[in-house]
Amino acid sequence: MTNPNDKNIDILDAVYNDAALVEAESGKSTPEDQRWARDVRSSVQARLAEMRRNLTPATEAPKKAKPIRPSLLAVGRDALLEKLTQLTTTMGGGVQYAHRHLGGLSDDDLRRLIDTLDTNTNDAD
Amino acid sequence: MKAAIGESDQQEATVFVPSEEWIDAFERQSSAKGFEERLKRFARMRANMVARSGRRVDELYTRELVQDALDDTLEGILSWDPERVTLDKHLMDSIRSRTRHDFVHATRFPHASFDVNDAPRSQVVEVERALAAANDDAHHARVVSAAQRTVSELRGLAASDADVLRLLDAFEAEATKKVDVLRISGMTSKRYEAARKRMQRLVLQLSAETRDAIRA
Repeated sequence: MTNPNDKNIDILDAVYNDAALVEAESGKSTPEDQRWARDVRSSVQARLAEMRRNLTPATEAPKKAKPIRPSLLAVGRDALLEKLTQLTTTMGGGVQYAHRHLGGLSDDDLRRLIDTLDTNTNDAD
Repeated sequence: MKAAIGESDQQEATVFVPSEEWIDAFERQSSAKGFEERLKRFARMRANMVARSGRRVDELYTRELVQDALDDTLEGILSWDPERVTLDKHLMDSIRSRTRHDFVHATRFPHASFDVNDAPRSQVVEVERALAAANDDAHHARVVSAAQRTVSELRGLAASDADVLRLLDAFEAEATKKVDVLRISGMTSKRYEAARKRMQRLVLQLSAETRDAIRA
């Protein structure tokens, strides 16, 4: 039950609320208010962008590489480089890979690269 | 102490994750031209009410009112349903509620500068005794008195303005919505809007001397 003495607080609250609504709609802002408003806006937008990022699903976990085919495992580095050259020549402009300096790739890296390019090779071997 | 830590952990674990529609609505409405400035003007006037309690309010307090309302909504502490209410109404209601609370609190517990280290022991004991003896009724009476004094002063300022007095009468009759005020006062919409603006100016005129009197 509302205390009848609280009525003056209610009136005061209503008076100031009404005056505040009028002030909000028709009052004037200072340049300092405008600067502050820009700062607030940019921080709110950053927060909303963060909320949006939180809504997007997490990126998929990296897939585990397929095992290297036994037929390629038996091949040494020189033969691997030779095979890669043959593939590139055979496929011409149809093959592109990012590695310009193959010396930076390990033997297994070369085997995986050949496996990726040589789609005609039988998986069963 | 253990319970407090547990509660804190529980709070940290609860992360507010609003829907995309909620974020869209917030972004759309908060991007309106002059949105933050309107909120600040609203908050500044509400801060004037808190100042009537004798509490010192400044620009920082006004900014804090707006910032806290925004932050609490973005954190999900203040629940906003875009389907039910506009964002600015929600934020203004929150600022209204906070300032009303601050007015009541500041009137009940007026700030007095008092340094325990400098004061003689007898004075410290006296202050502690006074604080302990204070009861809710006395505090409540002080809040009512501060509000009453302000309303009386407004009536005094509006003495020759019949429409503003009608507006105050309507508020006293718990009619604060335009439709209710028009029904009770018999004013036309145009006269009502003009009276609101004049009352707003009177609210701004409320003298600093009265604030000091309330503080005393």
